Amino acid sequence: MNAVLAWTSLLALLAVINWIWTGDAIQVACFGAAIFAALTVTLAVHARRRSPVETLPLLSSGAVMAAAGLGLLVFGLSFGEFPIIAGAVLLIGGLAHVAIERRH
Amino acid sequence: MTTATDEPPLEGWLGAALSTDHKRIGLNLGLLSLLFFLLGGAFALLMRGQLASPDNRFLSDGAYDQLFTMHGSTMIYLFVTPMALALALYLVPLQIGASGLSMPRLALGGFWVWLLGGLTMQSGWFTGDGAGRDGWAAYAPLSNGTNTPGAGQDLWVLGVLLAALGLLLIACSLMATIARRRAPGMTLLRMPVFTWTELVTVLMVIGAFPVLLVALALLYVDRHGGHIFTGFTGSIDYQNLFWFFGHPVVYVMFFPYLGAAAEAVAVSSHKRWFGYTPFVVSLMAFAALSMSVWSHHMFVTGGVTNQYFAFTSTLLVVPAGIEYFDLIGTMLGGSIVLRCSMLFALAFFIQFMVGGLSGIFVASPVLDYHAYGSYMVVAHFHYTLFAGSVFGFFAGVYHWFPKLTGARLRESLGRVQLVLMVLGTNATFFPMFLLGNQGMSRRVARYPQHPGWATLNQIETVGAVLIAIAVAVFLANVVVSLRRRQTAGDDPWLGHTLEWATSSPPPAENFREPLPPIRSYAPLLDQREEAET
Repeated sequence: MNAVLAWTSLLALLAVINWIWTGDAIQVACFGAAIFAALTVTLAVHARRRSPVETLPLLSSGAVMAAAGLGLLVFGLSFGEFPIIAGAVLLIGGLAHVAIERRH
Repeated sequence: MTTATDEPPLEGWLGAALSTDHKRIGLNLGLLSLLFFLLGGAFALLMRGQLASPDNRFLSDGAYDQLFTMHGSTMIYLFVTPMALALALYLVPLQIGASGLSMPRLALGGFWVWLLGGLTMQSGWFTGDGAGRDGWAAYAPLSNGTNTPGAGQDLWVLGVLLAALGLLLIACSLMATIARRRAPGMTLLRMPVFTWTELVTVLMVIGAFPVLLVALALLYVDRHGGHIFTGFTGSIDYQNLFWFFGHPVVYVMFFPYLGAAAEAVAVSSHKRWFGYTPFVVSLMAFAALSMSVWSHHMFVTGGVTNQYFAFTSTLLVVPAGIEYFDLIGTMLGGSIVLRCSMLFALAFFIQFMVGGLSGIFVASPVLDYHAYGSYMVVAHFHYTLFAGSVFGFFAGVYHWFPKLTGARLRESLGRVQLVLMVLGTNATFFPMFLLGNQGMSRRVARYPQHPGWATLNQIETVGAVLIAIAVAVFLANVVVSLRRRQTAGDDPWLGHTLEWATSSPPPAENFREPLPPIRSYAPLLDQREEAET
């Protein structure tokens, strides 16, 4: 998408000026990460297969399950093993469910 | 072309929780953000209660630390930023003529991850050590396991991580939607002003939020014996990573509300937004520049090159000036109707200018040395985020409420809310400039007896109460307007953009009738002008 390219070019220009002016590695790395992330998402969006008619799902229990699993897993980092294991199971189950939803 | 599946929609709570309809996800995110706004506001009232008099013992130092941390964190991670994306989730597909989101499951999952992050963050209140207490930035080494032990701060780190990840996922879905689902004829330079502000917002989220995720993950490891952010360099590294997210997020919390206010001004002036292309270019420059100014938060550390960041920070006045120029150009010669959305938009632009102009002061290292760590900085960012963004949010609410519900909000109650909010906002935040200039430190639970400080703090406390009353009036307005509905019709304001071409509220597939021809960023205005000639 041209807008993203224009924006990342502007950001790259500022990164180069920053590099010349400050020579600070972590700052240049931050700029690099931002440019990489924006370009990666844009490329991923454009690489998706386009079909003339795209079907929109109305509901997704898989996505909610995966999100709940991730939340529980991360929450469990503070509270021990059980929430981590339960969260991981939910996350994997949710992602699998999303894969099944996408097939239908 | 897109179609909906044939599966029957689930009704009730379960249907609302699992729905991938962009309007449902947007409403869920917006309504929960609003609840977090009330919670963050309650924290602020407690803080103002503590600061109402010098050496007050209403709250302990520890409780005050938790309150200011959770106030800032709740407002930033759980209200202003998610509300910006909630507006986008609801409105962007409608404005670009799409029937739904691209990658809707990602947006739905993102919403739930964000919500669980918010709950995780707030669950710290129920731990023995209390909630997070190192400020919304959680500077290392203050926030390491030695200086801030306990589960509360851990839950803060993990909660923010989840909330930011959820918002990032939503931003990816929005980005894909804008890239892939625009209606035929809706080129990038025909997208409405609001959609453009959301596009640059999601670009900034995608660019900046991953760095925050890295910073928080490293901080978590550091808290548990990782020794990552140690010594002077470690502290500077953490600040670089945090502020690389922390400054752009200020603009994530600004652009969408600028877009909402711009739509309200253009529609209420019965003119198309003036200087569209320069506005778009300035937005792009604004967004890129705002990602290269972060170390102005670190001027006093001696660990960054101040000149570069002073230069880029000062450059921000150029795109900001273009936006104000466009605002004035839009209103000039317009047939202005001073309805609530317009009044909130004007209050947004005027008050944000105070925040913006005080930003020029703190963009200068020499002046920042004086202001750093004082209430002057608190005044500056509250003028941008509260006096600015929150007023822009209310401009958007009054503008789009009829589209969401089919009913109008009461103008009379809206005006009462506006007056109370303007008075409350300026009574709360303007004295902070004076206190800061006189050296009152931020983040302190008690301040010394100093001539005039008690009075100024009491004015601020009264102002905070006025804001709370204004919010109560708004909530009453919503309840009254939904119970005793004044039917709005599909296009009560003679809107310019495609969301006004469908019913209020829009049907599941968004548009039942064919879209009007899209020849500019104001297709409905084009249609009306053609019909007149």
